[in-house]
Amino acid sequence: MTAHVIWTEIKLLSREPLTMLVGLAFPTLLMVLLAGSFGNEPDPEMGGLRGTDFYVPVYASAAIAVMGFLGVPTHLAAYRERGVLRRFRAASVSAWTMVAAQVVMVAVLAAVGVGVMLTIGFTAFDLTAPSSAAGVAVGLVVGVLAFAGIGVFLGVVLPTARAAQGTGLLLFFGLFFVAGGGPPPYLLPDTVNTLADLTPMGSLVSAVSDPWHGDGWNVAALVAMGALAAVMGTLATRRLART
Amino acid sequence: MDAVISVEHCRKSYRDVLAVEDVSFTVARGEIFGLLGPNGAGKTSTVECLQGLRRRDAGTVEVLGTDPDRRPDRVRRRIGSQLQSSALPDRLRVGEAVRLFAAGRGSALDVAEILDAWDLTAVRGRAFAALSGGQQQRLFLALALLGRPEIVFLDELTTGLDPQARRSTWDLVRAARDNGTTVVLVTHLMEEAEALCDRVAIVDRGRVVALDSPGMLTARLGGDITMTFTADGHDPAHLAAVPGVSSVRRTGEVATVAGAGDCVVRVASALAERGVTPSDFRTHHPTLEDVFLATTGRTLRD
Repeated sequence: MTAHVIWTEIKLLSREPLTMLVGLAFPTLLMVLLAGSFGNEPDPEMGGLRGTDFYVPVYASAAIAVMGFLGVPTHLAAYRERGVLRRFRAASVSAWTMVAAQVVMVAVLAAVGVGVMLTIGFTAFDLTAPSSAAGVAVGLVVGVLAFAGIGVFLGVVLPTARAAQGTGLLLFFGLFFVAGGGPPPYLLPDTVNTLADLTPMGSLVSAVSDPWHGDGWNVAALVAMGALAAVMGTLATRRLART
Repeated sequence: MDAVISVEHCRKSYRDVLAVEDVSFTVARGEIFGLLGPNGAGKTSTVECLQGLRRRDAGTVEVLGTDPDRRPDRVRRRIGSQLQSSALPDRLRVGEAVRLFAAGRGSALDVAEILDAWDLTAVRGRAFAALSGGQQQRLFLALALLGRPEIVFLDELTTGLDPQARRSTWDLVRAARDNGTTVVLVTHLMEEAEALCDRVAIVDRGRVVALDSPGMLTARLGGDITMTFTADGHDPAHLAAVPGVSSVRRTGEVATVAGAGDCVVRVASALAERGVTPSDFRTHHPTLEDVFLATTGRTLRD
C-alpha cells in the first residue's frame, strides 16, 4: 500500500504543470540567467568564486526549498481541505505513508532539478566539479529531509491551500534571496548574512555550497537540518494522524 | 438480532461545542440503517466515532465486536466508508483510484472486473475532476465497497445529485445490501431515508429522538392520514361518524377527511355504500418530515 500511494503521488505530481514549472523550470532558468550574467571569471565580489560556481549549488538548493516551502504545503493543504486525507486515512493509509510520499516527491523533483542544473552547468558554463561530491550529496539528502519536514508541517498547520500558497511564496522568496539566491552575500550587510545563515534556507545553501567549494562539510548546518527534519516530521505526522 | 454495531451513550464534543450528546442504537446484520437529521445534528461525528476516525469522549461503542477507539485498524479493515465531502485528487484517474484503494484492501481484487461491475470501464482513463456528479458518486461507492466489506458507512452520499442520479445511486445501495453488506446511511434527506432504510434513527442536537422503521415512525408519530376527493355535490359530513376519523372538512368542492391509519378503508367503503365513487380519492400519508416536526418542533430543512 505504501509503495502504491507513493507511486500514485509521483504520477499526480507529474501531472501538475504549475508545480513542475515553479519547482523545476523557475530555479533552472534563474540559474542560467545569473550564471550567464556573472560569467566564468573569478569575481572578487563573490569572494573569489566564479559566478557559475557560486550560483549552481545555490539554485540546486532552491529546487529543494521551493518544494518544501511551496509545493508540499500547498499540495497537502489542498488534500486536507478537500477531504482527500480523511479518505486516505479511512482506507488505512497511515500518516507515515503520507509523509514518506512527500519526502519521495521532494527527492524526485530535487533529483531531476539538480540533474538538469548540473548538466547545464557542466556543458554550457564550464562548472567546476564539487571538491567533495559526497559532501554535496549529503547536503542535498539532508536538505530534502529537512524541507520535506517543513513542507508537511506547513501543510498540516496552514488552514487552506491558498494560505499555504501565500505563506510559501513569502517564505521562499523572503529567505532565498537573502540566502544566496539574489545578490552575492558579500554585497549584503553582515547582519543580514548572519540572520540568513540561521534560517533553514541558509543552512541548506551552506550544507551544499561549502563542500562544493572545498570548505568541508558544514556540520552545524547538517545537524540543524537533521533536527528540523525530525521535529517537523514528527509533529506533522502526529497531527496528520488525527486529521 | 445479530448486532454488528452497538452504540451506548456515545458522547463527543469539540472544544466547547457538544456535537454528540447522548446517542444509542444497534444495527443488525444485513439491514440498511439510517441516521436522519438536519445539518449539525451530530450524525457525521457519530459515524466518525464508529469508524475510528474520531475518539468519543464517553459511552461504549462496538463495531463487529471491536472498540474502534482501541483498535481502529482492525475495524477499518472490515468496513468500507464514503466520508462526507471527501474528494479524490483532481488528476487521479478512475482506474488508478480503484487500483490504489484495492491495494489498501490487501486481498487480490480484479480491477477490470470492478470497473465493469460499476459501469466505470468507459471512463477508467478519465481524471476524477472530469467526472460527472453521478460518476463520482459511483466511483465513491465502488471504492467504499471494494472487497465486499461487512459494513459500509455512507455519509451524505447523494448530496448535490439530480433526482435521477440519486435514484440510480439508491439502487446501487440496495444492491450492496443484497450482496450481504450492512449499510449505515447518514442523510438529511427524508425522501432518501424513507426510500432506502429498514430502520431510521432521527437525530437532533446530538440525541436520538426517535428510532424505528420509517413506516412505524410515521404511523406512530407522524399524525393523521388525510384523504381528499372531489365531493361533487355530496355532503361528506356523515364520514365524521366513521370510526377513526378525526375531522371532516369541505372547502368548495374538495372534501378533506383526516384520521388514524385504519380509517382509510372504512371511509372508502362508507362512500361506496352511498354510491359515491370519486375518481380522485387520494390518501396522503405522513412522512418522516412530519415525524421530525412532531418530535422536535422544527422542520428538517431549518
